[in-house]
Amino acid sequence: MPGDPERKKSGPKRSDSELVQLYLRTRESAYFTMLYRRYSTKVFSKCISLLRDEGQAQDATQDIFIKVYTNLAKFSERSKFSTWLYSVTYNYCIDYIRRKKKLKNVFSDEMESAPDMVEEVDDSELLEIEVERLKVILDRIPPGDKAVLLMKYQDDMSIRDIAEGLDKTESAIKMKLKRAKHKALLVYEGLYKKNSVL
Amino acid sequence: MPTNNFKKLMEEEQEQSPQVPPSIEREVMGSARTIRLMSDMVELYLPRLFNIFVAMLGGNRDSDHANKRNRPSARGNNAEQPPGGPTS
Repeated sequence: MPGDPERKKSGPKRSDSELVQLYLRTRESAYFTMLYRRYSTKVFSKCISLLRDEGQAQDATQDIFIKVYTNLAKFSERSKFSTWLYSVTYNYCIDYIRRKKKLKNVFSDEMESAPDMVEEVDDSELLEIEVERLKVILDRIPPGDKAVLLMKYQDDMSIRDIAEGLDKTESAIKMKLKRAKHKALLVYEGLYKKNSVL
Repeated sequence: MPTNNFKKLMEEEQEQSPQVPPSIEREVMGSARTIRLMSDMVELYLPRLFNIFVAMLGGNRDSDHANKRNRPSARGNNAEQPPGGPTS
């Protein structure tokens, strides 16, 4: 791009945080364009993964970046820009699915208030599931559970970041995560280890 | 380092994911320009509209009026005058 400030500058690549600050200071759209180009493929891929429809994912990507643009001044830098952007992405997609399916709340509190009946699942049990199988399992659990698992294990978000992103308490997220892991493992056992008992 | 197949899944999905159509970038940047234009207009004209509204309600016509009175030159002129007003 001819007017791309990143091209003009021969120095090291600017960090996301620098680009946000530069944009807020100068209001030069080229800085936001750089952020868009850095993350649009990742956001688009996440949207496809959650929405399972390319057309809807395109609309979602567009809406997410416009939302990010209008809220850029509110980005507090308590977390990384990518963490914040992915939170917006998951929230948007989950909300979209909720509206489409007319579900009351995909991140329902009903589960959070229920007594804790599930056993803690060791992370390694989940992380070592074959990629193809993992894909199938993630498509079979509720989208809210899938989003929490992806935030934690794919995007390395902390419990605090997930809680902030989804506007829930940290303890609610811990519980949600525990149950999501359990559900994923149940699906895995059901599909691939029919003889085993969980 | 322990295996994390969630990461591998992400890499695979990103590789297989189709390219984001260029039209999306144009749409996003177009919307961003419109939003910026709107916010600039609000920033520029809203105070003026507010002043007109205040004037219509019978208040000061505009804040310039008050500013004129508070200008240093105006204050300087007043300061030259003795406390009881002009003598001549």
